[in-house]
Amino acid sequence: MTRWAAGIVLLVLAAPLHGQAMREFQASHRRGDTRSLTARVQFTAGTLHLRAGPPGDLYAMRLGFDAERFSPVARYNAVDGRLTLGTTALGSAGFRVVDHRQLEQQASVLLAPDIPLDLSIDLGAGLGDVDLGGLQLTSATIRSAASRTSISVSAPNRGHCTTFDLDAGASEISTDQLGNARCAEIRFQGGVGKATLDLSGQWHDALRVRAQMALGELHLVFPTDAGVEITLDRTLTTFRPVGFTRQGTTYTSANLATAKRVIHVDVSTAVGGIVTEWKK
Amino acid sequence: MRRPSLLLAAVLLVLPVGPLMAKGGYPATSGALAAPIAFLRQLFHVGPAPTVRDVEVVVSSDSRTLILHLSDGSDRTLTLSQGRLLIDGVTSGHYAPGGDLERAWQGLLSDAARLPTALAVGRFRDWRPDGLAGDDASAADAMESRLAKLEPNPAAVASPQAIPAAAPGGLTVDLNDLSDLEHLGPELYRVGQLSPADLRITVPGGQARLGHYSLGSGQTLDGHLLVVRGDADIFGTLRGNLATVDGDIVVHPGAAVTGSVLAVGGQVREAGGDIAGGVLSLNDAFPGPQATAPSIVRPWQRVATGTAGVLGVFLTLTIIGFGLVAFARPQLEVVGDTVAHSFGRALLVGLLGQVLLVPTFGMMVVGLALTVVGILLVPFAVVVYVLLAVVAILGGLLGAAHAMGETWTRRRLASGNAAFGMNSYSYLVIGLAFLLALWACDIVFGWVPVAGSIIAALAILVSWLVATAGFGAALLSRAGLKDAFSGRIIPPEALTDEYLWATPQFGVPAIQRPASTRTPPPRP
Repeated sequence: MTRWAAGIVLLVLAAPLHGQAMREFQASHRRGDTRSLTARVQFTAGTLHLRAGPPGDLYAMRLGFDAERFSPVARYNAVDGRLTLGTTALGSAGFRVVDHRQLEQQASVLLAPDIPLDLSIDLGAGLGDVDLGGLQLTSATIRSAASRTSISVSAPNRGHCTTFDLDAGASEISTDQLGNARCAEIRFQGGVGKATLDLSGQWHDALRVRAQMALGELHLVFPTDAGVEITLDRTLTTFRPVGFTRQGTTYTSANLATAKRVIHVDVSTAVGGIVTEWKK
Repeated sequence: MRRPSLLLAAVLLVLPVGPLMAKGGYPATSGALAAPIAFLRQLFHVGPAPTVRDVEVVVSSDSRTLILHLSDGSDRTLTLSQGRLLIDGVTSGHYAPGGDLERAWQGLLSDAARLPTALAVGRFRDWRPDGLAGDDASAADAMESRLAKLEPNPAAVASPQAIPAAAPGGLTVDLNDLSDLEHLGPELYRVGQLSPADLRITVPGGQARLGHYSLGSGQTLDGHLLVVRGDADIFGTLRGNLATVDGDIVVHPGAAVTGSVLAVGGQVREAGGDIAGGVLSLNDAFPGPQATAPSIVRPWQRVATGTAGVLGVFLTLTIIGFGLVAFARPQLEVVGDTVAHSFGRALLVGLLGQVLLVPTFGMMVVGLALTVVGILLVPFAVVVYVLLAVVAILGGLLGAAHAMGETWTRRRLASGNAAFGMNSYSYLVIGLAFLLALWACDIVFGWVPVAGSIIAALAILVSWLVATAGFGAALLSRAGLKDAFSGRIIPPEALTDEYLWATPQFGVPAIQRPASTRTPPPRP
């Protein structure tokens, strides 16, 4: 009995003491006379929610962060309209996710809906829930290192968008109504994982998509009323086209010549699979 | 006629104390005189009312008592106990036990126990329990009349005042960029840790204030403002940035702040005023890398931390090792024997294994991904591979420790000394102790220039060698499943190592090791 008790005491004493000081940080800024915004959201670990905010506010952020490892960032330069939000790792030794509790961090970001916005999002480990609907995007870049990210564009973009870049390291990315972003070009670069590019939405004329995938599955969703042309460069990739006619490395949908909207897709993959789907 | 005589007596008692009070050196009146003096002062309203120096709450199963320690050394008590209200021990009313008054009183005392004295006194003064009737209402009136007269000790309240600038090299809080929280946060954290007497802060281009601060509606303040331990009420115009530590920021209607505001340990309330810059709030100051002023780690702290770490590792490995001995002793012993008898080969194989560990993993994943069916197995294969690698490395290390312990024990026995124990558990503990002894040396002597580095390097090298040899032995012996372990030149049938250790010098024929167990039975 005594040995057991001694053992338990030793175990208790040897148990690692771990502290996580969660703090809450809030930041906001009125729009003022800001003409355009270049926003960068960097969130290393945890869950990020990003939406369009109410008119009149430039941004609003509510952040729950681990004060032992991170420092909040809310930096806005009114001169050049640059905004940086999120967290930065403390110290100079970089950042490592060593505890699942680091993923308990939460960030909720609201951005101005009525200002031309050049948006860049950097996600580390965790979850990303991004809805770009209602924003005035001029360009967007979303980098996801090792997270599960959901990107939707629930309402058509109010501005003119040039490029939409998606960069997934070892992540799972799913998009919904990406066409609503109305960007002239959508570029996707995937490392390892699974990605869904839903190109439906209210967009006009032509849309160009360039997708590169190293290892994993790429799921392409097209609106039924759009003509689609896929140029494929694959190494060890399975491709199951539905409703396409093959001409060498090019696959075309039957309505390509007659459709009012056309999607040109260039896909380059190494190992994995490509799946196409039509969506009404 | 009696009133003048009483008055005279009171004056006689109070007069000697007056000069002391005027000097500000009012000593705590103690002993038997304290209570009468306080009573007479209160009775005749002579001199200032004593202030509350400290608050004490005593709660038991049948009573709830508030004890107020006053500045004149006396105490006041208010107690609700078993249906009776006692004020300074005298029954002053009655109440319904478990009723509204008792609940309200309980809540007040709970709050008071958590608050600083000054705030607690404010809470007492404002206490107005609602919805009382009958005895509860009468008792509450009596309590309120006592509590409403309380004054906090002025020394305990941070009276509004300017904070003097720090000496050159002292604490400087730069409020030019409130968004630079990585640097500003730790500085404000330091501010929050300082006592009022130690507050010396330089605010470049601004000023620092202690206690509540209010900027009037017609006023304009140029420069940054730092308010410590108090709210900042802005009615006028502040041309600069505003930060508070342990206080709220309230920007009232018509007020304007041309810069940004930051509340650390407080909130920002935009009550109709205009804030041109950012609105930031942090619910608490946070300790960053610079927050703890030059962190001086004392040698004993370093040794204690290191020792705890080594003990923790030792305990963890011991527990895992005991589990292995309990459930897989033959395999552990085979791995250990492989290390002992084929150290060179085990080391080479371990090295090779380490080099090939990652490429093999990559090849396996790619190979599985090449096939449609195989790609589904990738997650499982990854988990299994990692688990096998961990088992091989950890099991190999423990097997090596076992071998070390067994070798040492046998040598001691061979030289005629008493051994710690003759079983796998003790071998394991001894081997791990040897392994971690080097790290213990590093902890104790790591601070020594040059020698400390050498010891650390030696500890790393030896640990790596043992782990590599153990890993190689685990591979050679197929995790101990290959009974006739690899590396033996002689055939397994001829396997015995007893002649090495257990044979006395004068020559007793060695016996063959039993096939069922490789651990010699414990000594009788």
